[in-house]
Amino acid sequence: MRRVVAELALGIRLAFPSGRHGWLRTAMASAGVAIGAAALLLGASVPVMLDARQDRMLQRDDSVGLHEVPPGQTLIVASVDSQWGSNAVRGRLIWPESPAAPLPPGVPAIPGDQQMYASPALQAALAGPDGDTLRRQMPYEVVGTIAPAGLSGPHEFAYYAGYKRAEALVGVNSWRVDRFGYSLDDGEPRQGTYVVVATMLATLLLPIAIFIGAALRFGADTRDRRLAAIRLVGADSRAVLRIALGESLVPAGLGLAAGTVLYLLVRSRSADLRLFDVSVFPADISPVPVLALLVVAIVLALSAGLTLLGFRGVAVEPLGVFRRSTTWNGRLWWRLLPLAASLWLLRPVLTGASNPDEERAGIGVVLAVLALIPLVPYLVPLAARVLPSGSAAWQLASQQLRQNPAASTRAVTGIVVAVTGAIALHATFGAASARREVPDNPADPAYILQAPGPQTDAAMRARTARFESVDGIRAGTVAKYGLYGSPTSYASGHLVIGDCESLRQVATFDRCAAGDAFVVGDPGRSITLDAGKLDPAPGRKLPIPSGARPARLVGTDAQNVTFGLLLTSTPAAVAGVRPWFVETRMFASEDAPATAAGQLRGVAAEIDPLAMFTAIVPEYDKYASLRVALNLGSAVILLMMGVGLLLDVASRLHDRRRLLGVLAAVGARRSTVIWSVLLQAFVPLLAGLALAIGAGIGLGAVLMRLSQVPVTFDAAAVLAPVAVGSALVLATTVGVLLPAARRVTSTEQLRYE
Amino acid sequence: MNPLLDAEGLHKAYGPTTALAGADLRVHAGEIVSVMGPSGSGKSTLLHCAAGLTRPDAGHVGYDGQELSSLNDVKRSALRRREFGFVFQFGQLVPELTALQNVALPLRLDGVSRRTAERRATGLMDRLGLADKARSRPGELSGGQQQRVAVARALVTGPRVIFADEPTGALDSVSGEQVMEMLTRSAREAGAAVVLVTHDARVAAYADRGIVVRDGRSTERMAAR
Repeated sequence: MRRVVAELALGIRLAFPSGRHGWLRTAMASAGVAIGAAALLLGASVPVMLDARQDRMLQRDDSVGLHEVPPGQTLIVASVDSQWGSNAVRGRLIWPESPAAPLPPGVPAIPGDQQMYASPALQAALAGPDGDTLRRQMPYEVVGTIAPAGLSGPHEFAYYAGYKRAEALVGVNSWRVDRFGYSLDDGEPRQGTYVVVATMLATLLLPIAIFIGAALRFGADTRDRRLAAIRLVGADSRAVLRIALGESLVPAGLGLAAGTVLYLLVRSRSADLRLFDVSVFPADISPVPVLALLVVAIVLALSAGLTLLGFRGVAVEPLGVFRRSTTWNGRLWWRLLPLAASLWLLRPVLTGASNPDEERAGIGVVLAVLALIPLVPYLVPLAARVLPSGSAAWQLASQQLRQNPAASTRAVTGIVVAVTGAIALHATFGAASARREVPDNPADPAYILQAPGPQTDAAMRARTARFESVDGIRAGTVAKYGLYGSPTSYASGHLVIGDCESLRQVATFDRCAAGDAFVVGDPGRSITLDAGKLDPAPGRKLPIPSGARPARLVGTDAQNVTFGLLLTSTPAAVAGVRPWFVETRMFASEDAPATAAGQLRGVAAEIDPLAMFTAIVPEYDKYASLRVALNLGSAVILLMMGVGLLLDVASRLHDRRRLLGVLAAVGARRSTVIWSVLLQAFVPLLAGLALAIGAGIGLGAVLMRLSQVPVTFDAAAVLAPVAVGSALVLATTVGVLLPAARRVTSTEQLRYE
Repeated sequence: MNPLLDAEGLHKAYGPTTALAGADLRVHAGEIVSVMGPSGSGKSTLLHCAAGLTRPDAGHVGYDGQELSSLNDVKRSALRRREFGFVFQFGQLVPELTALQNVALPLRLDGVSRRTAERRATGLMDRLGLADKARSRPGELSGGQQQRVAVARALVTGPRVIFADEPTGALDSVSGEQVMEMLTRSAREAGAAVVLVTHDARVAAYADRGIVVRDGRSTERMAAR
């Protein structure tokens, strides 16, 4: 035992390097481990983070469902949830029915009428540049701040406003609660979320492992000589492995420490970060202890595993290190096995099954990424064979690529994996956000306001005018009544009243003038208003005016409403009858300002804060923050891969410097030798990128299907990661490797011992 | 008297190249034996086989009554730690360790505590006049100083045989003489035998007797001293 400890300690001692190569090697490996450890620690913190967030949301939950709370020590609540740019706004209008009414979490007292407690983020936005527009949605006096206990995260826009009128609306727009913390729906992640997260992790961690491997291989010849020297003075082969393991503990330990620092940095800045409108308090981010231990174990095992893997086929003997030459196994069948397995797992998705098993698909996606690893070394000698033989430089390069494709493709594999993941995720998010830029049905409006209450023709025109005062907005307001009875069993009917302009937004007809009437479908000779509140009940009867011409509803209504009557003025028979609601439809032109939605919400809140405002189109690109994160992640990974490739090619160049020196000595042109070195870097890269484009498009299609997004590809989404990957490799190879190649092609290398 | 190390009828080939073709080497306790011969004659291979570093294709190597080829890697490694010492031309010191740590290394690998190992190494380096170099790393030492540190390391475990393969091959003549003086004097004081491979007659002159290897076969040479 004492010997084992001494051997490990010796390894640790040897890891503190003496030369430039040694420092670079330790620094690179530590950096790789640090990024991996930080990513894993953040991953290990996700459960705690989600639990803490969900717990606070559970504590403030006020949805009583169908349960009616009797009056008593109760609080009246009305929901006025809204949106401001990319921020969801959680708004509640409240009024106490008793001094002992329950207080919402994070709120110290019930605010007075027209006063509110607001979240810090909302207060900051109200004080910001567009604060006046936002204030129209919540024109209440801020009297205090909601504490973190009442917020889902630091960036949440939330307020509780005192609103006496809510008393009169119980049962219509407001309800009673006798406590907060009713059961909350689990809020299951959307279809495809797990798969996307799994793809991201596989895309992130695999290149990191490859990078660490490349860093550990860098300067391996120095380590080999050192180990042989130790063997000579009496270390047996197992002792040498233990010394090497001890050596790998240093970058692992340094990386873990640096990774923890990185993690704490990210944690301290977490209040500034948001993804999918989710923000977290730094206090929410703490790893699950078991998972944190697991992270430490994974990092140590990864370092140890990569070190041991480096000794595969290597015999460290007292007289030197001997590498057993292995015959290159160019067989394809076993390389296709992981791909075949992933295709089998993804079959339900690929065949368009209605409800594919998400876990199975997730494993399939990860396996598809992993399946690329054995394929790259097959492709490279294939490309070397297929490409026409020509110059002496290419002959030299192609021989090396054919004989040892695994070594030539080690670092490229990481780039292939990173680019594949980037293409798939970019394309998926691009397609998802593109799909939501227009309503599903082009005849539908961008926004709809549905407000209850009486209507008059003049009031409706005035309402339309208020919304049309926002730049780039065309609007129309109609009153909608439900009809009783139906000619066919599942049909529903509407009576719609509005001026010609407003009716044109609801239906198509030949011409229109004041006093005109139109029928939709076949309503018979008369229609009956629905006077029921919950269950249908017959109300007033209206004859179909003579001369009513046919019209056809447009947009989503055309599918849901089968019969009805459209009138350009309110008939006497309907006067005094409350419509279902007065509906304003708003269409945004292309030149509408980005703040149009915010302004429209402000107008709507001024008309009636409890009216239902619906955005048919998204008011922001919900994938924007994710794309930024993805771009950042891709850039970091590709940068790591670039450095990894550089280390890998540099060490291979170092290994072959005597041979290159011989070539120079026998008269080979320096340009020939340098070109052969460059081709050895470029050809695997080009073959790998071709594979990455194919695999990325395939994987993207799978992710789009899983996310229920139409499968479309934007050329920029596919080519951008490829271009970045290629540029990076070109820059590192040409800019840094070329001088190194010049050095090693000198005949001086023949002196090397 | 039975020889301490007895290699007999050694054959070794590397692919089509024959390195040894029936070479013999006998070394008695405390004796210094030189092995001479032209380049490529097989003298280094003979040393490697005799030290158990390379397994011969045929023939046997006996050390103190045990057959080296029958020992597994662990036992041969233990032999290298406790019974043998090595001084090669170059590349034998660990550049990351100080001279003191290099000298103490065989003891540490044998499970001796760090304090004890370094105390013994310090004592030896003091006796060999290397005390002022104890904290230096190999890269900070001259070639001659590195070889003297290597000699100290070969002696630290109190070995019974020291294998020296061209120990002065990379040194100038003055440094070479200093190293040889130190190696042979220390070995005699410690009672250790030395197998000294060299192509330099001046170095071979430090030996008690010598053999010549030519085309993989060995012949006894006249007594050097």
